[in-house]
This record gives sequence, structure tokens and C-alpha cells, in this order.
Amino acid sequence: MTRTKPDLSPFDRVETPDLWDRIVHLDPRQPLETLPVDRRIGTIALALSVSIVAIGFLALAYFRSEPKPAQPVPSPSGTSAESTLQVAASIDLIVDTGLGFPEGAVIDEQGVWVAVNAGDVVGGDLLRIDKQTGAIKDRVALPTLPGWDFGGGGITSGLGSIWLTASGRELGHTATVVYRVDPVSATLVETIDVGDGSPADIWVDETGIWVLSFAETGREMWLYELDPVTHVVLGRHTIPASWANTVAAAGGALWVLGSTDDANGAQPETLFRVDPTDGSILDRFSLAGGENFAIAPSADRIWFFARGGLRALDATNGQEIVGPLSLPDVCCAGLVPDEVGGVWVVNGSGGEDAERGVWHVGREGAIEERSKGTPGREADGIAAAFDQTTNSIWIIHYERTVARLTISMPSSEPWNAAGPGWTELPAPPLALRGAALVWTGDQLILFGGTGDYEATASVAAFAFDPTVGSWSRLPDPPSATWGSQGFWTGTEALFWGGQDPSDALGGVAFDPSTQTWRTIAPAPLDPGWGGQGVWTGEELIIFGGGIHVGDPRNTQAAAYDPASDTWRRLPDAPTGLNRLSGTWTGREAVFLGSLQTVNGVPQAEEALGVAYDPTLNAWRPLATSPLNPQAVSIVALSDGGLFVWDYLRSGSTYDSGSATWSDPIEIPLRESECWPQTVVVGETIFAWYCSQAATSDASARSWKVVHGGIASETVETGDGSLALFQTATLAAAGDVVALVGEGITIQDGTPCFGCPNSPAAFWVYRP
Amino acid sequence: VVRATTPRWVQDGEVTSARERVEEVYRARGARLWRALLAFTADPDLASDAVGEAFAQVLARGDEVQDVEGWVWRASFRIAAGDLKARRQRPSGVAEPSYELPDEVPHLIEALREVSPNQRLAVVLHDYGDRSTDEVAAILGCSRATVHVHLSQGRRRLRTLLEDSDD
Repeated sequence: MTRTKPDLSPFDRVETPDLWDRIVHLDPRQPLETLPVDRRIGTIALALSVSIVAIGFLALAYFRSEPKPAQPVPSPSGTSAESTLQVAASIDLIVDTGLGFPEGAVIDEQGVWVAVNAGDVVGGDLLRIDKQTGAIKDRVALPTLPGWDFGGGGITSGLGSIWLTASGRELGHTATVVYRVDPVSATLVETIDVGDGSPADIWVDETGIWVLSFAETGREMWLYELDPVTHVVLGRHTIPASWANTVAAAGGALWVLGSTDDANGAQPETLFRVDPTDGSILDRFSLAGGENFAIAPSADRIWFFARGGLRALDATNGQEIVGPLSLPDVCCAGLVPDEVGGVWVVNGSGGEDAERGVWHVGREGAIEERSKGTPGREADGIAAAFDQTTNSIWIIHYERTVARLTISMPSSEPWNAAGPGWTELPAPPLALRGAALVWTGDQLILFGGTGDYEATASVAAFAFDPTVGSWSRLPDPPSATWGSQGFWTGTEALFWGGQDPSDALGGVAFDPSTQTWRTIAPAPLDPGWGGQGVWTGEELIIFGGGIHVGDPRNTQAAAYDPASDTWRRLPDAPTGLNRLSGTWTGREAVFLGSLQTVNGVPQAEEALGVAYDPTLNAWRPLATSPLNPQAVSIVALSDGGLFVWDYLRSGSTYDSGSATWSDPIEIPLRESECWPQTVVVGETIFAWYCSQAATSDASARSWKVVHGGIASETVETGDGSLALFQTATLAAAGDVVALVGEGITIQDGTPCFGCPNSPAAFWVYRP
Repeated sequence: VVRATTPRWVQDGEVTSARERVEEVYRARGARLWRALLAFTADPDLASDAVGEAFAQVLARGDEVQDVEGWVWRASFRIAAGDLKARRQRPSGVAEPSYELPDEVPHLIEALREVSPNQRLAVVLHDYGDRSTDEVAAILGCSRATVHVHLSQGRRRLRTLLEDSDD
């Protein structure tokens, strides 16, 4: 979160009027003239504005009979973790409306229709958005707009038109009007005077045109019926509730959601089942105890949250047939009908303690699908509509934008929950600077690292299983360090080296199949800092290191055989390196870097490389690279070539056949102060540098910046905005890039990396 | 509306009337509340209306309300939010401040008007009004997590706007 408060202190110097005399002579206004019409505010506000006497009276009037409590019904036996399909839910489109706040959305064959206000000016546009591409195809100017504060959104489709209800008072019309838009020509073809009341919601189907408004007295809701052919107002039914929310037709009845008042001033939302023929109330259901005041009509089901869970009524008779299902019942979660009797539950960010994600509940109450991981911050909004053609849920944000959340079907691939682009997953239990990350083929193992100033290593390790979507703590390793390097041998995760001199020559190995650790035999190298490892498929080659020029470690190398837990000393390399990167080409272990003084002064103008061939047990020097020696990152490409890039964001490829480097190209990342990092996933090269990411195809010459995800998180300091996750530990994990980030903390306006209480994040990126 | 009689209230061993308690809160915190409402609404008259209405409402409730300050902060911002929304639906446009304001304030008001209502409300209440995220969540009707999002986005947007206008 942006932590720096804006300086609003100049307001302290504004002279203020003395209102006390006015206050003591003021009679409080009638509530609905003054209090917010925002549902989320209004449900609470009414308690503050209506006198206790009035509330008591209203409560008695409304509840001559108690609302029918929905009876808990055991969940069907099909609702089990085993029968729930794990799906991926990711934001794959964000549409900038170019206007103010999206108020409501509905989907028909022509596209996604979103009513967006124009900011401080009355009215706005109804947009038609292409469901496939997200392109805005049409804009229909509307004189006034509905408010998204109301559950139904004040917009619907039916009888071949798009319908909206809005205020008409400003236009010389009745207080509530209906706009009819022709979806084919995208034009406003009719403005219908409906009657009094503040408009709330509209429903249109073969049963008629139903418009819900609430009386300005705050004592009743009005349900207008319009002729589906002539659009003439046929009549108005009165429902004893205020703060109208939603109207829908299902199961031969009308379903109306509104607020009522009890003697304590609380506003339990009440769902009414209304006979459409005479407006009589057939049933009423209390939504008390729920946080998410919304209903989702889906075929012959009415879904809602109440008293501890998600429930569904049979719309034909009002009997509760599902629930309570334990799903996140928070204010900002969305309920979206799937149109065939089931419902989608989307929790983008609402509820600090509530699980985020997407669930699909079938018409019988079984949780048929659920997402693994969370779809990211862009899913925070009002989940407005489900599109069967793209299997997507459209979300309207609180300002300007709308987003498409696409549900992907699962595959056998472990990261199927991660769609294209970024996916945020649960953060590791600890933010650990310099932890090592290893992909075993079915889980990520996070080892060591440090979380304090003194760089005390954390003797702990964790595993993330993408099929489960969560971290678990592994048995504690026998020792740990930070800054160690991790390798997967096929059966064991090896962690070697690190920043703690006492452990620099050692390491540990973890066998996931037995959940056991062992200590690696010490390397036959001189003590000293650093060294780069490369896994060849059979051995771990360690080369280089030493803190200063002339340190024996500069040229030393050794190979470790995990099968026998033995080392063999290799010939010294022809070139010494102590700041280096390494990779395995399939034939050689290649190391590139520089020899630097204690103060970080390189001894050569360019980065230098050497290659070790295990079959020949021999080294060869590489041609001098055109890259900056300060810091480099090297990876092997699928064609056997090499790609290297440096601290100045210049990249070059090395052709082993001709032993030549290509002319450097610029990688489009901004200047900063980090060590470049690279991983290869499939045919994609992923480069990471100070919270900036870029990708290229295997040519390493077509770089594009990757926006969003972990790279978009920022924090405010006293001097400006900084990327929150400047550094991250990367691993190629199947067909995704895994990034575990440790964030910056701000202490007295000063950014601090590696300080206590650093935020942690875990993201994967699928090219 | 039933105007309450003046009830008696025991506070720190002294018997005080509800009216005295309310006036004490008004004298101590009314100015800050009014300024916060000015920041939120950009309209001194609307701020005065909301403060006046909220305190009148709490006076009418007599001793039913124990946390007078918290109550008037919540009520006045809800009243102001409702008035703002009602005004937005009228074609007459937004009222311009006709008040004598210190130099930097119009600048700040202009920037605050560019921030979405929820973000503005969160920033003003939390960062200027010193209200807790719990209180802001209660006023917005959402979770604390969402308040944090509004706060973060609002601060960021505000910072950008203020920096841009400084250039």
C-alpha cells in the first residue's frame, strides 16, 4: 500500500464557521432528503437518521409476521473437495472506458454493455464492448444513469433491447424513467416516463417490464409494471421496505431485495417473493447475518448470502434447497448467475481474512469449480455478468475501467491455475532475503534466506504445491544460509554456498520423496566467498569466487556427484572470476563475469568467459564479450547458443560454432541498481531487473517489457515512488516463471530492503 | 421528528446534559470535521450543512449516542456523500467554493476532486480526520482490506496530481 500520507495540513488554516447556534435551532431533516442513496452507505445511514420511534413503528408494520428464516439444508454429497474442478481464473482484458465510474453492466449477444458516468457531469455513456477483444464498439450518450450502488445495477437486457432505469426529474420527465436502447443500431430509441420514486433497478423478460424504485419518504418501495409491448405503465405495487436494491423474475414470481428496519436501527436486507399478478407478497426471507447484500437469479434458483453462508431458494416455491455453503461472504464479493441455475462467487479483495478466488456452485449446490490462487488486484470490483461464450466474468471497477476475468479449464500441467500473464499466488510464510528457490517438477522449494539486519539465516524451508495452491513447511534443514544457490538433480534439491563464510563450502540436499535432508560433503576448495554453480545433469560444477583479486578461489573449480556424495577437484580455469554467472549448454558449463577488487572495480573492460567440458575435463576461454563486466546474467538457449545481458541492459548472443558474440542490443528496461537475472521458459527468455521484467523469443532480439503483476507494486517514500519488490528470487518452473519477492519497507520515509516485517509476494508469469 | 428532552449524563463523576456533551465535542472537533468535509465535498456550504445536520441529529438522540464524536463523523460524511450524489444528478453542475481560502487549499481541493469519491473519502477521513480504517470501512460499507486499497490508490493518485500541478 502507498504509505505516505498526502499533506492536507493547509486545510488547518481554513477559517471555520461557528455553527453551534444554528445546530441547536435546527430540526433534523427527513432522512431520505439528505442521507446517501448509496446502498452500501445507506443501509447503515438510515439507522442514524430515522428516529427510534419511527423505526419501531416501521419494524412492527413490516414484520407482522417474522421473515421466514431460510432453513439450513445439508449440502449435497457431491460437494466435496474431490469433486471440485480446479480452474484458472485470470484477468486477461482491462478496458479503459475513458469516462468516470462504471455503474452497471449486462451481456447480450451484441457484447458487454456498460453504463459509465461522465464524472461530475450528469449522464454518461452506455458502452458496447466486444466480448472477445475488449474493443469499445459503440457509445450511446445517456442524459442520466443508474447507480451501481443498487444490486441489480439498473441495467438489463430483454425483449430485444437494453434497458436502464435512471432519474428523469432533471429532464422534465417523471422522477423515474426507463431508457430503451436498440442493441443492433446502438441508439437510444425510447425514454419512458414511469412515475415517482428514486430509480433502483429494472428487470425485463417475457413476464413484463418491472421497474423498482423507492419512495422519498423512505417507507416503501414501488414496483412498477410496464406493458411489454406498448411500454405503458400498467400499475404500481407497494412493498413495505426502503432502499430498493434488486428486482428479478424467476420461477413464476418476482423477487425483490430491499432494506427494512428493525427496532434496533439495523437494516437487515429482506428478499420478497411477489406474485406478479397482484403484487401480493408470497414470502419474505431475511438476509440478516450476511455481509454481501445481493441476490443472483439463475434460471429457477435465487442465490444469496445469509447467516453464515451461500444459500439458494427454489424460485418456484421459495423453499431453500442449498446451503449454507461456506464461501467468502464479504461486502465486496460478487455473485454472478451462470444462467443455468448455478452461480459464480468472486472475491477479488473484499475481506481481509476471507479467502480470495473464484468458485462456481452448480444448481444443486456442489462446488463444481474453484480457482487456485487469486486472480490479482484487478479482480477487485463488482462482478457484474457472466459470458458463457468466453467463459468469463466481467467486473466493473470503482473507476474508469472494466475487466474480464476468464476461467480456464484445467489441464494436467501443474500450473493450470495460472493463465497467461501474471498470477498472484499466496505469499511464502516468511519474507526471506536471499532464499533459494528450486522447481522439482511438481513443487517449488524455498530454502534459507535471512529476514533481519544481522543476516541470521533462517533454518527453515517451505514447499509450494501448485496443485494445492499453498505453501507448507518442510522439515527443518540441518543448516541454512542465505544467498545460496539451488539445483534440482531429478531426485534431490541441492543448496550450495551462500553468504555465511562458515557454510560457504558446504550445503544441504532435500529428497522430497522421503522428506529428508542430508548435509553435503564440504567442497575441496579453499575457503572463501562466492563461486557459481552449474548443474550438468550429473554433477554440480562449482567455479570461481574469492572476495579479492588474487584470491586462490578466483580460478578454482570442483565437481560434486550427489549420487556418491563426493567431490572431485577440477583443473584451475585459465581465467579467474569472482563476480560471475553460469549456465549449462548441454555440453559445457559456461561461466561469464569479471574479476573485481574488494571495492568492485573490474580488472577488465568487458565481461570475460570460460567454459568447462566435463568429458574432456578441460577449460577453454571464450571470446571477449562486448558486455559490461560489472554484473551479467547468462542463459543457454534451446539452439545451443548463449544469451548474456549486463548491468547496462545490453544483451548479446554467443554462437559457439563461430565463437563470436553478436552486436549488443538494448533491452528496454530502465537504469537502476540491480544484478540482472534471467530464466528460460520454453522458447521465452524472461529478464528481471529491479522490479522490471521483459521477455523475448528464443532469438533474444525481440524484447518487450512485461507490465503488471509483481512489477506493478509500488510504495511511496519521502522522495517519490519506488518499486515495492526491487528484488525477487526467480526460478523456471515448468512453463511458468516463479518469482518470490521481498519488498521494501519504509522507515521514517527511508526505504529499507531486508528490514524486519518486509512484505512478501509470490507471483508466476506465464508467457 | 421527535426532539429529545435534555437527558442527564454522568461523565467523570459529573452530571452533564447530553447537549453539553455534544457541544463539547463540537467545540473540540467541529472545526476539524468541517475542514475534512470541505476537503471531501469542495463546498463550504455543503460542509456546513453536513456538520449542522449531523450535530442536530445527535442532539435529537439525546443520551442514546455515547460516542458522540465517532457518530457525527460517520453521520456527517454519509450526509455529505448523499448530498454530493444528489447534486451530481442535477444539471446545475458543481458549486464553486466562494470562501476565502488559504493559498494552497484551492489547489488541494482541485486535486481531491480528481480522485474517486471512495478514494477521496478514505484519504480525507483516514489521513486528515485521523479516523481508523475500521471507521472508514464502516462508512464505506466495505472491508478494511478494501479501505486499504482505496487509501493506497487515492494517495498515489493525489500525489501524482499534486506533483503534476507543481510542475
